Amino acid sequence: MIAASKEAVVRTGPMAAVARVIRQIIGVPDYERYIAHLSAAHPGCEPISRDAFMRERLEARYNQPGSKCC
Amino acid sequence: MPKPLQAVVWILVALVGAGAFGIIALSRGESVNAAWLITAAVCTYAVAYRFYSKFIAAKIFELDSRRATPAVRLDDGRDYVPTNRWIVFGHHFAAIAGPGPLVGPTLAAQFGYLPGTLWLILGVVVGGAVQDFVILASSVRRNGKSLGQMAKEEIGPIAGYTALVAVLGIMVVLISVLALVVVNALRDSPWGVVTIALTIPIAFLMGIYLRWIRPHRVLEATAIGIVLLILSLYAGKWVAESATLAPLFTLDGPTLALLVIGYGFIASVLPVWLLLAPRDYLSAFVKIGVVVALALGILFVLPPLEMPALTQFTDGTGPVLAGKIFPFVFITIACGSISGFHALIASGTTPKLLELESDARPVAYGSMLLESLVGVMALIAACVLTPGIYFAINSPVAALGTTAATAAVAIQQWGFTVTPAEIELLAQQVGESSLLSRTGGAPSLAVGMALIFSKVIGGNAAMALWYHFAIMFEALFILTTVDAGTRVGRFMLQDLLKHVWAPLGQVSWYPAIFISSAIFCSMWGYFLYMGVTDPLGGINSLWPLFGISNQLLAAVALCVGTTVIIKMGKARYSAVTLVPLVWLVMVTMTAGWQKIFSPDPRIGFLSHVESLKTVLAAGNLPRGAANLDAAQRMIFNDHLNTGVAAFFMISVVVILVASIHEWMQVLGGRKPAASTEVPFTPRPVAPPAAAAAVRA
Repeated sequence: MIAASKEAVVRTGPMAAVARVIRQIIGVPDYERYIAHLSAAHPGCEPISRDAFMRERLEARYNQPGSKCC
Repeated sequence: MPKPLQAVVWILVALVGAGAFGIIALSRGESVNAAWLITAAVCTYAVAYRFYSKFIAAKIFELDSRRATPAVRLDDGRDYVPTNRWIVFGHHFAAIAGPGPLVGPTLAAQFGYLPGTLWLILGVVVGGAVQDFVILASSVRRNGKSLGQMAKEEIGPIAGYTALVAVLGIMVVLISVLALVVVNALRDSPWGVVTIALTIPIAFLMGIYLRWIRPHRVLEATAIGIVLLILSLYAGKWVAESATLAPLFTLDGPTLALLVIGYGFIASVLPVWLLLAPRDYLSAFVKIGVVVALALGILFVLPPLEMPALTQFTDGTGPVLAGKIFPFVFITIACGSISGFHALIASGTTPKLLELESDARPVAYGSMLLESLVGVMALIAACVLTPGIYFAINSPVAALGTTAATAAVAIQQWGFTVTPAEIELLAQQVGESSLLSRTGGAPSLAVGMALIFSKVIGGNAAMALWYHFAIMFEALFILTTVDAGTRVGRFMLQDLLKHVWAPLGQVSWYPAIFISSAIFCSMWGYFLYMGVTDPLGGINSLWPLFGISNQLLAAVALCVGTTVIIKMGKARYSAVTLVPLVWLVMVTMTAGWQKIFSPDPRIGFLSHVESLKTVLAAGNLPRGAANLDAAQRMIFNDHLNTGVAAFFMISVVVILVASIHEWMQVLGGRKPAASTEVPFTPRPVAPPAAAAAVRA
């Protein structure tokens, strides 16, 4: 699939920082953070693709109580 | 700031707050400005945050920034991710703030503005914020364990299992009552129906955009979604004004109820990326945007409150909800003062994100104060309506009759002035055929918000757009709770059903998914349908059940909190959780008892059965029942509601007895005060490598 091979380029600058904060607040899974964690803590590990990561995180979020309220 | 100056500032804040309380409590006759409610609230929150939450942080938990949090120790880039405190704050607030703090205070306005305001402000600083904070701190010390797990490990297996089953029961009642609020808001409203219905294809479009067109560009997709949302507002207006299309989308309550049930089922079986996730992004944005807009609107307009401080309905004869001020104010307003549901969030995602232990204080205590402020603002929006209009919108058909003329007569008998022309004019201004008996709180809140917003932008001409904007926002909110709640409920049900037949527990086997989703949807769907067809409006019986169940969960959370505090060897401070616990037990037990046994058929389910039987025995049909079957069903529903209320009361007793037994064991020295906390591990001095890499 195209999506898996086309990784978004990590952008920098104030706009990108604001966008990052907004994404975290509305609960978008943070792939960059995951990659950074893997390369720092488990350098040998092959990271899963962005698509697979997103799918796994969203499933986890909606499958248990504790992420949503009345 | 030098110390003496600080002391002077805090004394001033306290004095201003006390003065504002004096004004809102003592003024009689002349109307009070909303500014005083906001002032009293904000000053109280500031003092409570600065002193009380600091006391809990320092004396009970001894929160320590040098201790490594689970997010730091277990960092996996997935569940456990150390995150900046303000981002966690925003995330936690977006998760706890739902329709609850908007609807509850609106309904409680029937008692006047004073009882709701006092309970919102005092309840949160002593109860709700404490509960959220204590549970978050306990969970952070236990690697982010859930409330259910903590109940099992701290109190015992009986309490744990009771909590598990109770949560499922609470989900059923919660979803049904919120769905009822949406149905009542959309009944006979083609504009509302079209706008809300369009939010579903908008979510699909965003989901597809995010998967195939421009993968993972969430903010882009959300921006497009918001533009489409505004267009759907105009599409609804266009349909409502079309003579041919409007009747097609003018739906009655039962039809809408079936549609919402169908929606819940589909949402819980579809992949989350297609519907739930994009709706949630959209809803989080709209939620924060509207809360900010409402705050700015109130501050800008500073509306006077038309509702008196107290109405005569404190005596229990209220048309919105029957029952005396005690315990029913404390049941009607759950979210905003204290909400057990928050304990699930505070022991869910949030503890796995905290970077510093000390962040628990602003995140949990702070977010809950903000939610209480949202509740106060919702109460203000309801109280800027004249009482006549408020009761015309919120009283059931049984009290008002079906025309503006009969409604005006009924309301005048309660001592409020309103004319049929006023009622009809307002409905016309907001673009609805009628606003009479739109129970559930959402429409009157929307009218209040439209009044405030239109004073800032657009004037009277914009009333209709603002009204439907507010309805859209409330319905979007509620439907995200309905769909996500149904999905979670389905998983919890599968977890229970696997003990009956193992394959039913398989979460990726379609027959199991369909069966469990259908069972769960029919559980809340039954209560929803019952509420929609209830001549008393449904809210009268379902909202108190929801309040009782939510406060039951809060009681469970406070039992867990008290046990944790005692086992930490801090029994001398246990009043912090015991005081709100005792209060909630009194409230839930009294309310539950009255809902079952009250001799007033408008309150008590059993006396309602008796009154139905008397009517039937005389050879007549009760009001609202078309035939004998319908009458029999009303009797069955009363018995069902009795069972539900009794179930919640028994759950409270079981958990309370189990907790007290555990406390006695520990305090009497028969059981060691063993803490289940993860032992202290120092935090690495440098920030974690991964976080540094992303920031670079």
